[in-house]
Amino acid sequence: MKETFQAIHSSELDGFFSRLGLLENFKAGKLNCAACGETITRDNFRIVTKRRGVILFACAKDACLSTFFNK
Amino acid sequence: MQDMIIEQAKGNYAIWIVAGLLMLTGCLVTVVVWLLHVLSDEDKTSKWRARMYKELFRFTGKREQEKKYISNDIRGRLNLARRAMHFGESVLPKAVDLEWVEGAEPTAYDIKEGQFVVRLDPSESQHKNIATLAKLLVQKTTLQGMRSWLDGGLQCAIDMTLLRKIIEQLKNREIFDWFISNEYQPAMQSNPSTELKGKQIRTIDERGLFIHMLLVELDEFGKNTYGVDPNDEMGKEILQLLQFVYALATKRPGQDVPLEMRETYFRIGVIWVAKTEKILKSGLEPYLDAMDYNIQRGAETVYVLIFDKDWLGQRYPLALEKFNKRIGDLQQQFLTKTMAQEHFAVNFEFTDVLGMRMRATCIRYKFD
Repeated sequence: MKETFQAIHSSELDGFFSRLGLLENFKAGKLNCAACGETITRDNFRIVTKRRGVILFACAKDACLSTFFNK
Repeated sequence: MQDMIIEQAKGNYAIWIVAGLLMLTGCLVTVVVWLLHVLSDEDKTSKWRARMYKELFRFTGKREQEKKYISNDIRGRLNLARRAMHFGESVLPKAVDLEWVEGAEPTAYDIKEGQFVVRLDPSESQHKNIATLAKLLVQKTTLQGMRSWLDGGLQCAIDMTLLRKIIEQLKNREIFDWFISNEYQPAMQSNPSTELKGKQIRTIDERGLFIHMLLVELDEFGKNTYGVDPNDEMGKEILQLLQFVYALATKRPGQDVPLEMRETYFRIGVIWVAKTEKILKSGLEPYLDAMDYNIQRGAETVYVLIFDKDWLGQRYPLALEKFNKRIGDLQQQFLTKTMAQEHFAVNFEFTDVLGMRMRATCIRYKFD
């Protein structure tokens, strides 16, 4: 049994956020890390998921990723 | 005379041709067998595909080929590294698969419930991509169900030690160095509690008891307590378990350490088979008695740790032969004369407290 991750290339972030309908919010700094609350940027964005219909982002900090999976 | 020489030369020539054809056939068969071996192994083919796409990307510079290189390389390397560590238990992270989300497509994209989309960097940062995916894999798939209430320092120390083991198995200096400086050291030194637990778990790992005992117990505890509200007692016992295994890992020859942990959630016994003369002179009874003692005391799990006696064979080969036979008999008699059921048996190498490389066998018995 494998754990499948989807991946997005860092050079295609604009297209990805646009496809999610969140490009404006991303550019305006309105997306936040679900763990630490920091603004999600081009540099610190690491992972995104959907939980109970809500899209959640996490920045690249180790503690945030750990919390992200524990939630 | 001249005709005879020509005939002989023709004969030699034919022999050389036949020998050459045989060698060529042998080489072809070897290549075909090797190809079949590689092609039948998904992870090995991923590594070869990664090499091919890396070269294609170098020539064409196309993003599609770069992506195929990145995903095949991650899949091949991480899954092969994981396999090298695996001993049939679920305590290690799962195998990984990677699918690309196209950023350039015009259609809307919706993330499915519970699906994770990871940002990966260009191929020149592939060492970072591999370390990142390995970390996500460990955090997502190990000790599921109990991570949220594990002590933060302990959880970090466990994740980082497991991650370090996987990265070591990659046998790639660039990835290892990047991981140690950018992930391992900053995480392990993030606070005094993590640093202390990190050192203890590293020591436990060096003695081979991290994935064969500590993680096995934590994983089983997580499964047994699934759906139970966490309480202080659980947290306390997990820390006690860490100290129990750490004491075993740092035990010096002749030193007495607790060989039993009898608490609410962890009821573990350990039978230490290290003294050669004990098993040779006293026979199997003391060990069978120890197993019965553990059962009577309510142990749910007993580990039998047997330490290798290679040095004995160099001086007293007959004694080594007798020792090995006794060990085989002991394993047999645990199953026939006690209620013990073997859960797994694994051989491993470790570094002892004096810094010597040694081999050992760890057998886990359960009583259900």
